Amino acid sequence: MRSDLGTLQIDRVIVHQVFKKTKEKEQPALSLSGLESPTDLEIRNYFRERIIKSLGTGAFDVVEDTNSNPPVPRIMRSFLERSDADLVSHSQELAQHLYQCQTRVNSGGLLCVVVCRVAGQRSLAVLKLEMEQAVRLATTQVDGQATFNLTLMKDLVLNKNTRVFKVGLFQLENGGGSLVGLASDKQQGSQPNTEVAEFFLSQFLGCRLRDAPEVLTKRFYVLTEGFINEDVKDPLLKSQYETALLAEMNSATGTISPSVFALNHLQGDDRQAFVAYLDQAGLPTQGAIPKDTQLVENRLRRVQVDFANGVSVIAPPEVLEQQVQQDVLEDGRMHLQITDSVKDIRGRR
Amino acid sequence: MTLDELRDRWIEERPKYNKFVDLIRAIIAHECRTAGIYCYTDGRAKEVASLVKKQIKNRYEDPWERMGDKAGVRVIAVFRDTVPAIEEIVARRFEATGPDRKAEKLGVEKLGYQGIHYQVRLREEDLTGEAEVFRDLEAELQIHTKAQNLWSDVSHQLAYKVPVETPQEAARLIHLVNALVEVIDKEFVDARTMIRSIPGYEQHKMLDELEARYYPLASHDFDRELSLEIIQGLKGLFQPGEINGIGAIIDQFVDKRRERLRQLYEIYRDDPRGPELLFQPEALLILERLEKDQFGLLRAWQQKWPMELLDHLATAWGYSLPELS
Repeated sequence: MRSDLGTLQIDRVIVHQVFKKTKEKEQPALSLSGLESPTDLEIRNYFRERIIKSLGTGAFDVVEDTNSNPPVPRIMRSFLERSDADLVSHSQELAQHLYQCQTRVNSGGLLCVVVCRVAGQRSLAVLKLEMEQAVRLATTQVDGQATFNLTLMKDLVLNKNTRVFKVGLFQLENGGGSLVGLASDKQQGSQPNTEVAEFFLSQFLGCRLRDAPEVLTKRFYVLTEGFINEDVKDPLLKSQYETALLAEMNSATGTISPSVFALNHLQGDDRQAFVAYLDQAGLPTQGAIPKDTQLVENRLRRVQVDFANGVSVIAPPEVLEQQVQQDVLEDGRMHLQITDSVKDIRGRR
Repeated sequence: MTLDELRDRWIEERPKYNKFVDLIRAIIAHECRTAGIYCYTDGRAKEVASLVKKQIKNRYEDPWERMGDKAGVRVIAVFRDTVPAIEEIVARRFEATGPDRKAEKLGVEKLGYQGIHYQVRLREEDLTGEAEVFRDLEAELQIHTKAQNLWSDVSHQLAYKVPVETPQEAARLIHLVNALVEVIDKEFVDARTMIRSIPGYEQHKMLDELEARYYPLASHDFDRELSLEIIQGLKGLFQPGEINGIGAIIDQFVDKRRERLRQLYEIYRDDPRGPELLFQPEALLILERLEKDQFGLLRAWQQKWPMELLDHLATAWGYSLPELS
């Protein structure tokens, strides 16, 4: 589905308002629409582009979580299986479930349910949006003088810089099987295994990541090392790329974006070659991979020994233990002895 | 082999030879287009009457083997200086015997036919599937310029097809025209060199190629100045040889993505807020580079134009740009 995002076509849209849960007993839960929203071509294309943009950069492949019995996949499957299914009733069920999932921590907002097609196949997109504020300018005349009329708009949603934007796009696998899709949560700092992402992906959508993050992370690591070893000839670049890979794996970010990695850390033609290498191996290069380094932890660890004279020795712990002779002298100084062939000597800052 | 046996065999096998000729022409046309070489191809399996008359005239002992021009292909180059490149293609894409350069036999004082002839067969790696039936076939391949071809055809009609011997004066006129042929070829190459040195020629040429692929997809008018500016900024993403063959590169992209392009243009056809670059011919160039060299495109774009323009087009195409640091 990811590679077919360019074929997305929007057909119909319905919007429901889901209020934030408060202690106020008289606070309404929902404001449900009884009709689809009228849309024109511009609106449909605007939704199209926002969905593509969001799913293209940070979406994960998801499947319905059959370990629990969540209502959302059932509701979506029920809608997708029949071309005459009622959008109003199905989308109202989704909105009600969203309200029930929420706690007082979660913001209120709008639930947009979008009937669409991807590569010609009937699909459903679910968007959770929050209201945003902005100031609108309009020229006016006051006492014969030109000025700007400023109006605070509090009901805007889904602009180009929208920071809080959750979207899922779903189809029935092979046209009639289980529910599969892409899901993205643009809330800042979102990681697939954090509580925030947990709410949208797991509690509301009733889905789970299709591929275990640790498996995908290991695949990325192994394939990238394979590319560096097989396709990069310059030993200096090999070393730089390897260092960048380790830094990427050890960084605090919760996702890996192969194309961003290529852009930021590889040079020249190596970028495109790297992306093509991963594409050929079947690893998605558009969008993000959820990061979990547990399967490659041993490969990432390095021990660094810094000497007072400025010499530093960096090695994997097992190499340091097994192949570097370490002696502590009587005066407390350490003696390290390394015997091996030299791969590379270079200057660096 | 008797004359009747020869005739009967040729009547039976001639259709296969015609298909063989078509295949050779298709290979040459594709290769030349990819290399940005303007040329035409012509070809046929010899007419039955022509084959029989040739045997009557020459009385070959083994006419089937001796007549290497049962199938003939002519490659007609527009410009004389592209002939070496065409010869390289022939040598690379076929099992070729030759060349037989007719001009070398003339020396410097004589005028006459100057074609370059090869005998060609298909390479082993091309003799697969339906082409297997062409294994034992060969064709005569001639390379002419357009001017040489004109002279060759007309002089052949005048000197060989008329039932009487050509008078000396007429023969001299025919040869004088041949001198003009050499002048025509040289002057056209010189003129083309001058035109190509005009600033902006390459961009205009590329725009012509893009326009030809754009209008079958969309009928919106476009901003020509913007097109030339963007083409100028992005042409560095291509090798010089690729710039000459940009039409073939875009054709390959359009062929691969035809349905998706058709759908994209249909979605945005009446949308006034659609991607600004979509209804410009260079959109095809940008989308092709997005798939083939996204990082080169990003770097080239970032230096010159707002990223929002590229981002809007890329998003509409279903592509997410990595954020530049």
